[in-house]
Parts: sequence; C-alpha cells; structure tokens
Amino acid sequence: MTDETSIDIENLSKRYGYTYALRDVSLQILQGEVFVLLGPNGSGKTTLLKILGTLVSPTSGKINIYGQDLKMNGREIRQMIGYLAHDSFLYRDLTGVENIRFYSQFYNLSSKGKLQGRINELLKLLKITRWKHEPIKNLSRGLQKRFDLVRTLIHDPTILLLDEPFSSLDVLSANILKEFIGNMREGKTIVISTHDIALARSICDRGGILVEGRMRQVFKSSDITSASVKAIFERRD
Amino acid sequence: MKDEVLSNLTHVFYITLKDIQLEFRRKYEVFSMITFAFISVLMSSFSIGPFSPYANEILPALLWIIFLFTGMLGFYTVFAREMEQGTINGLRVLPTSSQTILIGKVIYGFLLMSVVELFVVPLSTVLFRYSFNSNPLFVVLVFALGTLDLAIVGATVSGLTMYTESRTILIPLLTFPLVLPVFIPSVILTKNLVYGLTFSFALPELRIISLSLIALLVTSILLFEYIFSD
Repeated sequence: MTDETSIDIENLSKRYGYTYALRDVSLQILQGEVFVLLGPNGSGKTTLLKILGTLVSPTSGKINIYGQDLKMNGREIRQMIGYLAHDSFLYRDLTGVENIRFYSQFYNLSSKGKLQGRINELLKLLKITRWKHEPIKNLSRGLQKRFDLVRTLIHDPTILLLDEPFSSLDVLSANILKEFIGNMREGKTIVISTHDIALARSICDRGGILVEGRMRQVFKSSDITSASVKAIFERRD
Repeated sequence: MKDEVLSNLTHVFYITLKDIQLEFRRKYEVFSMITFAFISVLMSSFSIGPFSPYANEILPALLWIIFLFTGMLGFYTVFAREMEQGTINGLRVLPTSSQTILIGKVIYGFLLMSVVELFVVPLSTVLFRYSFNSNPLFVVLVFALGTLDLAIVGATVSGLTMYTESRTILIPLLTFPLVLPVFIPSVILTKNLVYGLTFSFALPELRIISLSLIALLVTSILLFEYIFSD
C-alpha cells in the first residue's frame, strides 16, 4: 500500500426519484489498499460501487480515479477497472471460456497466446478448469461466481470493485475466493462490499460504514468489532 | 483517431459475433422468426390465391409487413433480453462506446432478418407465381436497404424499451412512426421490381431511403448514449 490516492470521492450524492441512495459521501482510497464497505441493506454500498464502475451516474459530486475525472474519462477508466457484481454478467448459453474470451477482447491485451495463458492460469487458481467448456446455465451459483471473477480479472485491472463477492457461496468457494483475494492484492486497489464483519476484518486495510447513504465512519481493520459496527448501524442522527 | 475507429470497428464485430454465437447456441430466435414468416406467407397465399389479379399489388406490402412483424417478434427485444439476463451491465462496464454496441446489434439484426428473407422471398415468389424482372443486384439492394431500416429501428426501439415492463405496448407504438419513411418507398420499389424497374427510375425513392436511413442512424447513435448510460 502506498500513500498515493487511487480513488478520490468528493461530496458524492445519488438520488433515485425523491430517495437518496447516497448523501454527500467523501472518501479517499489509497493505491494498493483493500477497503471494505459495510452497511445494512439499502445503505448505498451497491450504488457506490456501481458509480465507481461507471454503471450509474451520480446526481452530484466528483470522483477522480488516478487523477482522471470519472465522468469525462469513463472509457479509459473502464480499462483499469474490474467489476464483480452481485449478479453474474455471464451469458448463460455460452461456456465459461467463451464468456471470458468475449469480454477479454475489449481490453488492450497482448497476444492471443498470452491471453490463453492468463485464462488457464486464472481458471487453475480458482479451481474451475474442469468446467470451462460447460455452458454457464449448467453450473452452480458458486462456480458461476468464480467464472465471473475470471471475467473480472482477465485484463489484470488495477482497481477491483467486488459487490458482495462471498454471498451465496458455499464455505469451500468462499475460502478459495478469500485466499485468492489475499494472493492477488499486490499493487491493486480493492473495494469490497459485504455484510460479514469478521470477514471484513480479516481481509481489509480499512473500512467504511454506510448507513442510509451517509458514510458514518471510516476505520482501520483492527478497529472493526461486531459491537462497534452494530452501534454505528443503530445510531440515529 | 484512426486507431480509435479501427478499435471501435473491431468491437462492433465482437458484439455481432457474440450475438450470432448465442443464436447458434439457442436457435429458437431464428426458428421462431422463420416459422412465423412462413406461416404468414402461406396463410396469405391461401387467402388471396395464386391467380388473383391483385397479387402483384398486394404482395410487396404484405411481404414488408410480414418482415416488420417478424422482426418485432424476434429481434426487437434484443436489449431487453440482455437486461433480463443481467448481461447489459457486463456490456456497460466494457471499455467501449455505447455506439459500438448499438451498431453491433444493428448488424446482428440485419443478418438475422436477411436469413429470414432468404427463406421467405423465394417461397412467396413460388406461392404467388410472380418474379422480379429487374437486375438481381438491384433487387438485393432494395431488400437490403429496407432490412437495414428494420434493423436500425429494431435496435433503437429495443434499447428505448429495455427498462420498461410495458414494452409489448411501446414497441409497436414507437416502431411505426420510425419505420414509415423507409417502409413506404421500400414497398413502392418492391412493387415496381416485378415490372422491371431500373436504377435510374428508382432514384427518387432511393434518395428518400438513403437520407432517412442516415437521419435515423445518426439520431439513434446520439440518443443511445443517453439510453445506455444510466
């Protein structure tokens, strides 16, 4: 982790109709940092990740990623982002490998041989090589999630946005994913949303608690305890 | 600039190729379109009859109406399907422009409709006992331009209606005004192809079709950036 800011969020708000999903959120995430977003359902975690992933435009506020304005340089920024959503982005009628090849074509990747090498390496690391020629619709949710993670990582993104990556995974898949995040974090900025406090403490450098669209508190990994998080969840402004 | 254009063109190719690959895997889209078009032509031939003196007058309009409804059945929900499967967000996080995605879908729609026409046009000439007496290349051009119009309108309307649940009402309502400027000259040209229409006599209609297609494509591209962004 360095002192250089990779994601700089200033007074970010997002409104859907009359409802605020995010209210005046300001946050700096450092390069190489694993930052966890905690918060109850509907607190704005997914909206924040969607805005960072250029899927949703903010109502107001500014985001700079490595000094580039997100609104003005969406296409360039998408080159460096890997976004794993709660629901899979994979085509159900295509196989895992076909899906990964399709998505990888849009990134500035070098030769086909190297790309195939990277696909094989990721499939092996996530222990899904034997299912690579199966249509996605035939796979369990956990396996689909792992293939979706390969899609997210195929272009070696410098910023990873993971929206509840451990949800609906069995213990084995969750452990593989957790170990994988630990191994690949070198040089990457990772933002993860989760409900799991113990897991957050074990993988993050810092975390933030969102409640009703407001960033209530930013803290170091060591300061996260179930009691402190619960107290912040329940605190009324 | 040149690199960007080249990169966008390859992205268009990847989008089209993916949709073709998906269609080969599923097959029901193209089969349902061909079946619908076949049955429509067959029913029309039974109703009107091969020896009707009005067949030459009716058939061109009938053919284009069948193509339009065939497109609405299979292709006009192309973005809604991406939306329902959740893959639309996969396309939105790609480092490519929304226009490349739209054009990729237009080309896919054009190819899909062309496959249907390849089956239906020869069948209709047999059932209605008529033939096109113009230059075959000119016949292909007329059908290609009309089909391109249906594909552009289809992709645009599909994009416009992908967020709404009432798309079954909205698709025909949005389609008809958008499709008409090319649809009517296409019907006129198809009718005259039977009487040996030449390129020079068709120029007024071809001008209308070309200008309408350019206007439609430019509007769709500009509009699509907003549709696709949020």
